[in-house]
Amino acid sequence: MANTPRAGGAGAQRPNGTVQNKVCQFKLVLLGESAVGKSSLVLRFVKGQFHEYQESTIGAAFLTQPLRVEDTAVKFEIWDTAGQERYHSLAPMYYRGAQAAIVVYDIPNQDTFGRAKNWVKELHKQASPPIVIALAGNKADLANKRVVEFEEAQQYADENRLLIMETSAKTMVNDIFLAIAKKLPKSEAKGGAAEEHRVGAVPTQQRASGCCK
Amino acid sequence: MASEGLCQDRNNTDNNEEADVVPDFEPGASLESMLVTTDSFEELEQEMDSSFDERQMKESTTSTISEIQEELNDTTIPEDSSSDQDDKLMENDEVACKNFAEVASQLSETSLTSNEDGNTAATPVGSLPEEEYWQNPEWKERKKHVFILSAAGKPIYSRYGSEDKLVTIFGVMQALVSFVQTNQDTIRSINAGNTKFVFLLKGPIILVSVSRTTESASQLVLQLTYVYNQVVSVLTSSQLTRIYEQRRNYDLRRLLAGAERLIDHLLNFMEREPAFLLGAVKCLPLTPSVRDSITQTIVQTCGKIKNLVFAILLAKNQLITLVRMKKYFIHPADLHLIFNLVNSSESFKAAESWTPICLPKFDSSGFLHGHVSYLSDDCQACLLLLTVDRDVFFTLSEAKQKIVEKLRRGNCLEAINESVNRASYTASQVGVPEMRHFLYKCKSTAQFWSPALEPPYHISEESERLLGLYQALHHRLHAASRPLKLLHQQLDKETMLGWVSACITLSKMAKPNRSYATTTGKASYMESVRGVYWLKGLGYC
Repeated sequence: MANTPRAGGAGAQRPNGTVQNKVCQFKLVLLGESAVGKSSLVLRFVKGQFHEYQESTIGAAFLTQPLRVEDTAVKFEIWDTAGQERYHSLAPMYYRGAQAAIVVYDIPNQDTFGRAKNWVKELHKQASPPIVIALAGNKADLANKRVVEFEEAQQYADENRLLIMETSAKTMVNDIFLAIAKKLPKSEAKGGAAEEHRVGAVPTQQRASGCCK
Repeated sequence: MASEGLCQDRNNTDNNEEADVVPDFEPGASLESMLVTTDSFEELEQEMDSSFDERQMKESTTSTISEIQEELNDTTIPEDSSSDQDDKLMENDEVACKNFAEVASQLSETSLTSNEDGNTAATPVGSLPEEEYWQNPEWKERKKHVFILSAAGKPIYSRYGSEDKLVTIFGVMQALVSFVQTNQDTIRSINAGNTKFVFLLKGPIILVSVSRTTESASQLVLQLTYVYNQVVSVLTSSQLTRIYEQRRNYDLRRLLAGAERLIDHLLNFMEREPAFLLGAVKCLPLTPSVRDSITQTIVQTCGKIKNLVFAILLAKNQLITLVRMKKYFIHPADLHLIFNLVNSSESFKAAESWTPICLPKFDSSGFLHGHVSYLSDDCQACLLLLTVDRDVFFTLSEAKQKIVEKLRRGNCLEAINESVNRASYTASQVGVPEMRHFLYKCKSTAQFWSPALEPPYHISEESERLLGLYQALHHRLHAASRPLKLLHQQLDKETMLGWVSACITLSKMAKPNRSYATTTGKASYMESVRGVYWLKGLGYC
């Protein structure tokens, strides 16, 4: 079942069937406090858009984006989650089985950095290893309002084996997705793991209690 | 209202109609409706009659969602043990006015209706100290304020201005409520000059509307009920109750963060849309064959997805079609919340969304999970697939792709676009001279139709006035003490006719000095266009 193209996935396959042309699908989840710019990062990456006023996400949004990394076609299946407290209990549904996570904070807000650290802790404890975690210090364009120093974030990232990058959804976000894609194992078996751990596939036991009360 | 009751009610009505419906009598009528049919005033009576405790009991003992899950998965869902409600907030249904006339007038003076303070009007906005924020003239002049607070008096929401700056006023509101409660009574409304203060106590939260509009107190209560339902839609009533059981002093704004826009939008929406007043929805005009083929496409594609409860397709505030699980109906009030959600969320256009939605009338105790997406970039109709299973996103995502492909092949997307872009019919096209506008509700299907607003109602001030007139007419027709079947009113600027039959409600506006005899020809027109405006097909998954 590895790499079975689904609706939308088929188009990414190129006609001549050499090794280069396989498509690795990766499930990537964005986590972080509300209003740090998760949706803006994704929209910039997938659609090249930026909205000064980006309304808060309700639940989670799903987008896909193909990418080419060193002769390998990579397709990100991105879950952009809502950051509000009331959605916290739904988060495992999205990071479970994810191969990559971007934990976002915004550099003008110390609290969001604290929240990001909590997400990293939760991922280390609960997510399915091996997961590539990247820390994104967003709103880098607001350098004059900076509160979270890059050194501080970098030290934390090093200690916890995270990728770290400062981003601005206004201008540059592709680098962080590229960096993640490079770090992800591109062997067919791994790439196919995306299929097994989709939101659609949860052990029966969990499904029975799946009603959110 | 308990969900089991819904189906039961509905079945009863169905039976009645089979005997009663004469085709010529109720244009747009259908023997089977996909919506729960009620009137806003019936809702209201229910609101007034049943105490919170009773409703909570009903709600928590019959959860529709767990019912569906049990049926489909053959597994037992652990019962939520929240059925014993200890709050005794609404004990007596009497309106208590005498004792606090004094307090009330104080409230009105300090908050809204006072114009005596000449010096505050001169103070620039924003420079006021916090405790005097409510003296801000711009804030004071708002026509309708809506507040939500906890039973303990903690601010939750204010339609205008930051809640933190209005703590004093929230305190006064809480004081009024508890003052009346000490006498085993419940505060309902206060009239002070042209200002109405309307209170709605819903378990752990209090909703207050302070209005200088012409709406009746019961219409304001209906709006507050919608606001409460919007809160429940975001949190579920069981979560709401649980939170306050654990911490009476909880700041609910933490959990509602990001949902304020839904409440803001809902309040504005209710000021423009007659749908709320009528307890009905409007359908996008489509030829019956097109609508049928859209419905069938959805039924065929989704029929095998066993946990799908509702599939709803809408565009431009109008319903295109609705497919439902055989046993379950959707209440117009729930549909209104869905319309509100879609309208206030531009982000649904950017990506597929997977979002928990609680439909308070369907089951206020739990979430449905909604796959929400627009059909395509070239067809701005929004499809919602609602399920009780939170793990089937990709199944629904694939189903949606298939639906779109099939609709495209069948030229249905074009047909939808055409209807969305076509200028709406106007009252003058109906062929009844001098009739300016009308609202027509088909009771058995909970659907309504109205033509486009023409001059003089095309400017927003006039359209608001028009809705106000309809509200007043509706209030008179359905007054609990003396309901009317026919009402003809000669006003300064227009003549109004309201006509309620066993199955229809027709309210219309004509130019002044028209006798109502000529306006009754309207119904036959509605009959001639039946099918185009009404959704009657049956869609079962």
